Amino acid sequence: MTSTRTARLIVCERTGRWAAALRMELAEAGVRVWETRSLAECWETLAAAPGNFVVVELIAATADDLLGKMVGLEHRFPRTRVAVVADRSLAEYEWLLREAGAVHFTCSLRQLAPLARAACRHLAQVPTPRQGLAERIWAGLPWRG
Amino acid sequence: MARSRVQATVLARLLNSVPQPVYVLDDELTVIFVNRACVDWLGPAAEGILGSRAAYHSEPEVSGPQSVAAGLCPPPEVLGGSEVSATVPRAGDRGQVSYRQARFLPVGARPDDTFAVIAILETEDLPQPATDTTQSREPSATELHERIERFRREAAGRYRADWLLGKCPAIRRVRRQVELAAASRASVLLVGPSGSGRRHTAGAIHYRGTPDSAGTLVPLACSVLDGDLIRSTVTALVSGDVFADESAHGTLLLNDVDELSDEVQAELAAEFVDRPLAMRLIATAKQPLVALARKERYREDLAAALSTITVELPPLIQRREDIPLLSQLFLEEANARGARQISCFTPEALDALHGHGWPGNIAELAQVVAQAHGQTAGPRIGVDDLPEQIHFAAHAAARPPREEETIVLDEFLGRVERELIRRALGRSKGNKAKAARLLGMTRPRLYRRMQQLGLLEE
Repeated sequence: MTSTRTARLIVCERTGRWAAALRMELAEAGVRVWETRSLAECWETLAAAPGNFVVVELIAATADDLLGKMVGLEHRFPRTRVAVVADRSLAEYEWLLREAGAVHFTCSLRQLAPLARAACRHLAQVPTPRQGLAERIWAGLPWRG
Repeated sequence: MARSRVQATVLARLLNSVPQPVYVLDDELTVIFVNRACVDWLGPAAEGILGSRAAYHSEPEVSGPQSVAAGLCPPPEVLGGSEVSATVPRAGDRGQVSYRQARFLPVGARPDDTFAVIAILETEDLPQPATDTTQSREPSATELHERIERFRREAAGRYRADWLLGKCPAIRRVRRQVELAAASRASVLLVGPSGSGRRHTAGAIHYRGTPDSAGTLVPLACSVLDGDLIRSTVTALVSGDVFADESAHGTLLLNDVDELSDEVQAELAAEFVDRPLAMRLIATAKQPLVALARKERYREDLAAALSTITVELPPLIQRREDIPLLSQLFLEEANARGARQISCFTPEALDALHGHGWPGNIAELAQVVAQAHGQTAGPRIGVDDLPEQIHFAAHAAARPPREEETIVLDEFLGRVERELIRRALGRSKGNKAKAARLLGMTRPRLYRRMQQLGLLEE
């Protein structure tokens, strides 16, 4: 499976608050968070790097769309993993979304550490495009901005 | 000194007189000032908030001022010198959360030297998300039930045993085992390389026959989740705390179970070994667990508990004769997804697919066909419509070997050193003594190196 780009952590949400909280959790890990504002835009980005880790905000109005996309994801982009974040009022969806393939589900902005660790582990497992020695040394330097 | 204290008092009085809630954080995100309007908004929770850190945390037991302060945490871009707008939450007495729009203003001499953040909030709460019926309305029991039924019917259609189509003896054996597994409640271990269809086969076993009564399928990604999370989820499911009656029909799917740590293996063994389980267990692994146990790389009792029926999924290169059949299957699936209808593959395209190494196995084939379906303009998929990886593999032998990579060592080390000094200075917000400590050198030596590398002029 070829990918044209290194796998990314993508957050798809309406406002940016989940992404901001995740950035805080990931500050030490040096993992960059990419944001998209719609499911369609998010799914388009998957084609370029099928090993992405996607954090999607569940919205009641688009729950069916998300479910359909998640089930199809396993066949179209089997290396992509999805975690779902949601408002507490949508907590009832947890097990349905897990059944559809979500690796993690949370309704709390303050409990994102397990999700952040899962994303880091996933991204570490995805093979990166072949790099030269200089690129590998450069990528391994600490204190990324 | 006395004069500045007087000025500070005047400033505080001024800020206390404005209707907008205002708070100030220092560079370590400690709350150092909260005006009267902000105290009113936060309510009793504001008591003791001064001195608390406004940092996100993950410990569920955190409460009181620390918890309230966490809600005041600004977006990290502010500490980089950018003015940012964001929402700030506040938990009410009964646990309900309200939000206000806030502007976060960085205060500092330079963008990378923020020493305080001033937050100015709007005077009105934002509309409650929970009352927004189109965005985050709590689903009614009927609505959710209908959604689950619809999802399971679709999933049952999707997880047919089609991926197990084929004529080779290995796949015929797999089909028989899957039939057997679907008809029983015994634990099933699906062994195969990455992309060989382990997850799909698990779905086929779970949804086989009567999807409406299949119960919940709970997959757990053992290779990425924290051990604690795996253990607590399994314990909750096994004890019946989560699904009550329904769990009798449900399936717990432990993906990549061979990657569990010794500690989690021991904890799962305590749950699974010699205990009647309400849920069916399906696990996936790259290697047979019993073989791993023989090499003392896996717990023997857990390996046995998870492997009542072991199904070994062959890699795609061991069933090359099935590639045309599977390619056509995935083409039909792609046709079903959209308006574009492609009839078949040209013989050259099938030859190219047949000759590929398929390191990603059947999942890679499904993806290649989906990409080719999107590429082709004609009624058939030709060899030029196939993605690059197929062409690369076909021509790999003809390509000259990669030119040896060279590095000019002094120049490269200079670049690395310059970059590390820049990063250390960025991390220490320009403080050279702190940067020198990060780099394990003295401040004068750092200064000399910066001079030699031309960093002082930047």
